[in-house]
Amino acid sequence: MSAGLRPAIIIDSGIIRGTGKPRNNRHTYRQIRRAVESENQTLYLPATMYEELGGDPSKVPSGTDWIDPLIEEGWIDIAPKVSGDASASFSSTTTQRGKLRHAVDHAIRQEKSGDESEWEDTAMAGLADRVLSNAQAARVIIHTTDEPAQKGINRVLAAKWPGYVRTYFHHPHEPKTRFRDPRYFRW
Amino acid sequence: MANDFAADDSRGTDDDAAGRKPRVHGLQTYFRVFQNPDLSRVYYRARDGPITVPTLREELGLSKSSAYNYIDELVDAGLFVKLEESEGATQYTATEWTLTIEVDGESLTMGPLTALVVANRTQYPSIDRVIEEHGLEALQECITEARAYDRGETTTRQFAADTGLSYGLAFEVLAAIAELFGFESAEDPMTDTDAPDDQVIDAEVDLSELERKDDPSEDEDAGNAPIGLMERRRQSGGE
Repeated sequence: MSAGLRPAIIIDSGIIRGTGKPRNNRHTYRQIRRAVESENQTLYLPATMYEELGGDPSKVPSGTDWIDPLIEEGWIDIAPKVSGDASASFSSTTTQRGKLRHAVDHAIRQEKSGDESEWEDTAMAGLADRVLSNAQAARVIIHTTDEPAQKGINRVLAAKWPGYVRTYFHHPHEPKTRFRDPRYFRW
Repeated sequence: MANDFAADDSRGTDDDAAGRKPRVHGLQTYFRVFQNPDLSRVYYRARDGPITVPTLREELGLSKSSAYNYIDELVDAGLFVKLEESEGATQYTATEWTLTIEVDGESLTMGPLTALVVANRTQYPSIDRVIEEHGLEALQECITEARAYDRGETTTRQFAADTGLSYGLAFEVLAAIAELFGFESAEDPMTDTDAPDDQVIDAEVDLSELERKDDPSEDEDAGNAPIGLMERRRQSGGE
């Protein structure tokens, strides 16, 4: 693999929820960790999803048994908060990243039925945008457990970053077996 | 309803009795399908197409004697019908059924999908919690919404909102149902070639307004900082 195409890997909190708490799934996480580390990778969660798992992003690790043991092992990390105001709108938002998150929110809502906000999911797209804008990585791979989010995120990021992002959708029970395969952590 | 019949209905005519082959000889197997995970899986598997003893052994990992026992039980109860042999093994096909319970004028109709999920309540504590705390109706709502999720029509958060469960419990029960029903997603990712060329999402959002420019003023990060908070701390020598 070319070092120049090394991706940053962003995961949804659903990947962790679907795999279960580390203390009850030691063997599974050991296998996933092996696959992640064989690619010399780290998995990143947006700060808002850390909160969703009971964590406090201002103090990582903050004592949530959903993910802190994995963070302490050093192969999962939390990215700082992505800017953007959920209560604003696409047209009223002036920053590019806030606009992008609203565009993703619209695109996700178009894919699904129901009005529930998907603002948390837009953080994955916002983080991808930040990583690419800042050249913190050359490519981004996103793993989510929401198919409408996969489609919405893909649609918006493909417009802004064509060819730089790959987006996977997994049912909640799939990562625990799939993620033994390092190909999910490689461009 | 034309197919409806009630056990206490004494008005049934002799014509009905003569024209209809008796099918229900007992209720025990119906109840057992809600209680025994393997029996439930055997029935559920047969809904996808005819099964044989070797398919059950191979796909469900059952012993030969268990496979025979479950098939015999389902045939006796009228839930399986014997077909002709294929490659030396007898084939069986599943008969559709539902079970309706009426309580106080309210009715609850359950079928094989609910049976499979209920039968696995011991293996999946989230299923047990939904039944205990919210009832079978709520579990059926979860099954309906889980199937919408499998079709890509809903998200995990929407699932929680629509079923009225807490997000944590909703997610767990969705994962349990997805595993039991064998939901599968594509193994390959979406890329830019999968996205529509249309820049307009709706009346408000035009993607061409998203410019790809480096605007350091709005970047939360310095360009060369590591992505993760722990990485930053390690780099700055903290801890």
